[in-house]
Formats: sequence, C-alpha cells, structure tokens
Amino acid sequence: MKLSLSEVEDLLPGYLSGDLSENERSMIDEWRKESTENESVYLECYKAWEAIPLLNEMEKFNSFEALRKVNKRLHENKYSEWRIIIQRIAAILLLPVLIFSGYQTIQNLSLKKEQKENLVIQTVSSRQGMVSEFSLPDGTKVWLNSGSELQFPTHFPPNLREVKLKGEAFFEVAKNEKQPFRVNAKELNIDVLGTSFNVVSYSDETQSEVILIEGKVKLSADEGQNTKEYGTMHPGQRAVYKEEFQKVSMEEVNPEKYIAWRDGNLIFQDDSMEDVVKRLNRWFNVEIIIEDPEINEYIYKATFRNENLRQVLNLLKISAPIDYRIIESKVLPDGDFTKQKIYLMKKNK
Amino acid sequence: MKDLLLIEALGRRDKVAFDYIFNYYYSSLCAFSMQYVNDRETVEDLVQELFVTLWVEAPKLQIQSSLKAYLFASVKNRCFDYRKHKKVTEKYQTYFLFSSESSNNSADNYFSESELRQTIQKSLEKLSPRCREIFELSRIESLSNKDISEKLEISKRTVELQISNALKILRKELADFLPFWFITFLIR
Repeated sequence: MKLSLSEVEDLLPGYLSGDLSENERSMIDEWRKESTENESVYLECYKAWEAIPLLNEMEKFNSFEALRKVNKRLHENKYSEWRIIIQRIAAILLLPVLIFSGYQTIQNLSLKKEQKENLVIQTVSSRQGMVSEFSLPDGTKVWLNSGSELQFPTHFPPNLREVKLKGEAFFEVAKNEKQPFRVNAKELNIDVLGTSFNVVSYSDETQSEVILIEGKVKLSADEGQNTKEYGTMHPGQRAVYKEEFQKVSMEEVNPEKYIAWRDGNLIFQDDSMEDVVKRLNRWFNVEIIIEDPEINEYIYKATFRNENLRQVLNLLKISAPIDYRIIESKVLPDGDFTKQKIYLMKKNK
Repeated sequence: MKDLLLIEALGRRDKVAFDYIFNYYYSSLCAFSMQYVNDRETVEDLVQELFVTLWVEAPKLQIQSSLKAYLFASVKNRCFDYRKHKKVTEKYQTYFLFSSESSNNSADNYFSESELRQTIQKSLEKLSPRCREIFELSRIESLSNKDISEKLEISKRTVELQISNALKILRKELADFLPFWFITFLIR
C-alpha cells in the first residue's frame, strides 16, 4: 500500500518520537526508500524536529567564560607576539648593507623574559632580493639569503639547539658544548659545537651543500628510517650531499665566494653558466632560460656589488659571445605576477 | 561586506572584532566539533586553541572564502588532527564517510548560535499559538505526546496533528538554512 504525503506527515511526529507501532514504522521506512525526494522530505522534518535540541546543545557552551580563558592565554603570549612582529618587519627591511642592531638587543631582552614558556616554533623568512641578519635565542648569528626560510623554537630545550633551513644561510654558532647545535637541511643534518659555516639547501634542488669557515661540523643524513654518518668537515672545505645517490663529496675551496652574499656581493669564480644562472635566478627572483645548450659550458669569473639585473646581464654580454632578451612579468587573472623571464642565446655573427 | 571588514579588523589586531567573532561563533563551533570529537572539554580546548592561533596569525591570514567557512573548516581539521593523534578513527569511520559526502555543501550552510536562535524564533512565529505551544512543550520541555495531552486536556491525536502541522511549516522554513552536517550530528 502506498502512503500519500499527508498520511506520511501525520505519521512522522510519532516516527520521530518513537511512538509508532511496529507496522506503521516499517511503512514509513518503506516510504523513505521509495525515492530520494521522500528521503529529503524526511530529512527536512528531522532537521525541524531536532533544531531546538541543537540550539540547547550550543547554549551549553559558555562563550564568555571561554573568552576569558583565551584572553588570559593571549596575554601570556604578548611578548612572543611582539617579537614575531619585530622579526617580520626586520626580515623585510634588512637590506644586505643595513644592520639593524637595536633589534638584537630587543630580541635578547624579550627572549630572556619568556624562557619558561612552551616550545613555540617560529619562522623567519627573507624576501626575494634581500638578506636578513638576526640572532637566535642562544646568541647564534644568522644571515638568511634571499628567498630562504629558517624555523627555530622561541627557546631551545636544554639538550639540543635544532633549527630547520630551507634555502641558504650563514651561521655563526654561539659556543656551548653542553648544548649541541644542529641544522636540519632537508635530509642532511649538520651537527656543530661552535663555529661558522654556510648551508645551501633549496627545496627545488636535489642537493644540499655546506661550506665550513671555522671550527668543526659533523654531517649525517636521514635516509628513509636510517641515519647515516658522513664524517667530519674541516675549515675551507665544501661538502655536497646528492640526494639521488645519497653520497657526500668534499673538496677544498676558497670559501670567500660562497659567503659573499652576506655583504650583498655576488662572486663567480670559474663557475659554469649553468651555476651562474641558478644563482642569478635566486638573487633577482627571475627565470633565466638558456636557449642554446652550448652556453651552459661557458666559464665565468666576476664580482658584482649591488649591480642590478640589466647591469649584470650587460657585463655577461661583454665577457662572452651571448645576447639576451627580457620578457617583462605579467599580471595573471588572479592578481599574481609571473616571473620576469630572460632568454640567453648565442650572439648573431 | 561585514565579513571583509571583520577580516580586515582582525589583521589590524582589533580586539573588539576578535571578541565579536569569538562570541558569535564559539558555541556553534563547539557543537559542530562534537560530531568529530565527542568530548566536551576537548572540543572546547580545540576551539579555544583555534582562536588563539587566529589572533596570533591574524596579520598574515589570507581568507579567500568567508570567515565562517574558514573557521568551520579549520576547526574540522583540528578535530581530525586530534583524532589522528588519539587513534580513535574506527569508532567514527561512518561519520567520516557521511561528512565527506556533504563537504561540497556551500559554507553558507554553517551558522552561529544567534543565527539559529533567530531562525527558529522566526519559524515558530509562523505557527498558530496552539500549535506553537504544543510543539514547544514537545521539543523544549521534552514532554511525550501523552504527557502533553494530559497537561492540556486534549486528545493524544490532536497533539500529534498539531506537531505534524508544526513540522510541515518548520521544515520549509528551515530547509535552506540548516546544513547537512547537522544531520550527521544528529544521527550519532
């Protein structure tokens, strides 16, 4: 027997409150299964039936009491909030030549005040084309290269000072033998006692590198579930960890050219065009495309100090038979910008 | 739009805006979270945590959709994270399925306590006084149909008819308003 809608509506209150006989109940069950429209009529009734109990449920949560608790927590966090703001501003404002020294004092002061607080991870990032300089809670000095990011806790736990790097940074680690310092650069770990070194570990590359200036560091890598030791580095060495081969190669280098970026300088010394292009891309946040593979092999030696992109390209043009074409950045429909593109080609004879 | 003003005010760390948003959404976010984490205290912690983060991160927040959608989506993620942590997935598996089906529902379907109260009030006003009295006895006082008939000295049949009438009207009033998750909330 088919039920009419008005018959169903008659029975639904009993169905919802559980007052129906077994027989009537199964009639409604049948009706619900007949069509999706029937089922949605039922669900609508169900909503109307339960709306008031839901409101009661909500009223059991006291938002004023809860807001009082939240305000208390916000108040406790005030110092760290301030520091985050200051660091953000500093990270944006700090040009390679600009040293914001007062900032460090403020930071050290506020850090001491909240040693007791929970472990809060914070992130400092450097915008494209800028270098940020700042201090970690333990006094370690960090230079963060353009487009890089460093994560660290607002205060270090007593047994380990661990930071996480994406991109390139130079560290001058404050000495503390009881509390080793560790840089996490993708898979690679760099363990330090007290020293200065440079780390390059961009997420769009399949390698990470370390250049040691002073002291000693120990290298290891997290390969899957295992951690593999890669020995100790000595000053003046450059270690390159290749992710695909899970191998570290070491060589003696002139460290100067690897850390010149700290002072806003760009040094190329017997570097192939491929490497030059990679570094220029990061430095100026552009996309340089080599049209002629032969250009890759060209070797460069040059030092740039605060030159703009066009000046750099013109200098490259003088020192090798190449030419370039710039495609300016465009605004995308979503308001974003495309990167400026530069095509490098062999000069027409 | 009011939402945009609020988001902008949050970015400036306007505490008045923050308190307003808190009071407006707190209880519905809690009730909403109860479907994922069935523990009152935990739910309150999770929602309070969300607001602390909202305040701290406010200047760099980018809310594409509405503030409402952002809050409900965030608290849902927090509930899922909490459960992952607690490894209590099995018990709730069925709701998972249910809610993922309904997740394409537009965010406008979420609501705050005050919105729900208003809508219910407006809907109840559309009922005849007698009908409303009976429905309120049933749903607010939680009386059974038999108790109502005794209290008002009318037949049980009349009570059922009046409730049926009330549902007919209310379901149309609430149809566009109450969200799908609401149903999953009730089927527990």
